[in-house]
Amino acid sequence: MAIPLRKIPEKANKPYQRRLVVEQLINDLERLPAQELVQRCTDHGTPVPFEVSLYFLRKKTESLAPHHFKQVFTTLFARLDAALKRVLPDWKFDKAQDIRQEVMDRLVEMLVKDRDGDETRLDFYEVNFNSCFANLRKDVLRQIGPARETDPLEHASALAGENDDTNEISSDIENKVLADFALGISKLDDSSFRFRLYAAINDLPDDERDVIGLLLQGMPIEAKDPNVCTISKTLQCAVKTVNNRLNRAYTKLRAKLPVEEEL
Amino acid sequence: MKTRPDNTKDDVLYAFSVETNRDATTLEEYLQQYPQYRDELIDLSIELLTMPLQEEMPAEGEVSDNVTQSWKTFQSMLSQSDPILVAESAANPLEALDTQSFRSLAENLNVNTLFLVKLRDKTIKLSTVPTRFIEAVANAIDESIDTMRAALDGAATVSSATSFKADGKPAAEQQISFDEAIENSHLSEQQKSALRAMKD
Repeated sequence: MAIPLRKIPEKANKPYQRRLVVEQLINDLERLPAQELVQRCTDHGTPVPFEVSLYFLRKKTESLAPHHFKQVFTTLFARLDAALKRVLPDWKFDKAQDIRQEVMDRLVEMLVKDRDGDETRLDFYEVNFNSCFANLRKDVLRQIGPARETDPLEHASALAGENDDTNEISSDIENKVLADFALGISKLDDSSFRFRLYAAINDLPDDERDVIGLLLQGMPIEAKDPNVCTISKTLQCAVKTVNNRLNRAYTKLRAKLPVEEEL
Repeated sequence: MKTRPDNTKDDVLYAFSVETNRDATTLEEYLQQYPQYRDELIDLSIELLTMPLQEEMPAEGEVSDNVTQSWKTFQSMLSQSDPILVAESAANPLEALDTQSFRSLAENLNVNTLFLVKLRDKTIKLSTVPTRFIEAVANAIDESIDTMRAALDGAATVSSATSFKADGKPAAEQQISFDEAIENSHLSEQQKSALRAMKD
């Protein structure tokens, strides 16, 4: 049986749980001879979830033999390296390789501390590796960035318009933006469209990415009820500023996405 | 709502990362509880929304320098008492035996030296070796079963205890099963039967 996680969520009295599919796969693999277990964890054709590989790297009782451990370790980190190259490509970031290495080193350090017994943060990774790894990546970028690479001209344009709150956006335009986004959100079920949309959003300047990102999470721009959390309050800026940023973001996204897939 | 400044930033951001059904309401709750991490939480919420799925991400063909470096870093940081290092440092007890002891052991186990060489050099895939046989080897040389398992597990090697007369560089063999080793080691029928009887 898979060893239970120890980390307890703040509002609960039971530890975090792995995804059912992960828990089941761990249980299945633990019944296999070591050689077969390692073959499954290193199979490039049908890779196991990251959480499963991590479980066997964390496990100290009945631990993998050293050469098996190295195989599982190397496969996991090679997959992570490949994943990092997608989101931190050399062409987009200065010193991209160093940033990727730093992300992996941080994970290595957590694994070492975990095996020393004084670390439980990797429990989070066994619950949702992808999300935690994204958090780690963002943390590294915040510290040793550049966090983002934006087109200088686009960025300059964004800054120029930043304090343009006196420029009224007509309610017609605002409504059109919202209506178009509503249409776009309905197309989010199309995974191909979603991938390209999110990639384009990630290329926006931070301020524009923030308003689009919050809007897509379902946060309203403004609300009559003062208790409702709005984009304007969250980003601590005027509603007009939010709309300006949204409008600029919308224009850029429209230009980047194919015409037949307009937002 | 009461804020919770005592939680570390890492804990808060990781807890947010593993929230199920994250939406604006979840973000709002975290922003109210941890206003000191406002920028990080907003940034992370959008990152998690827009990140590409990497669940099925396969490794690339060749191991990159970054991966090699990660392994070296891991090894250098690992505690000396960690089972990985302890097991790794355990020498193969069969390699430490002199020729006479090696022959005596083979005799004791009712096999020939050729079969025992295959076991020592990990030519025989450990997962196919009966536990009773590993136990017999361990008992005969006064080692624990775990030590024997660790020593005999892994890829086939060229033993340092072997002397070679050929000019070419000796190469490690492909691994074979316990059954194949029984058939291909010039054992007597009696020895073969005894080994087969040990199978789990």
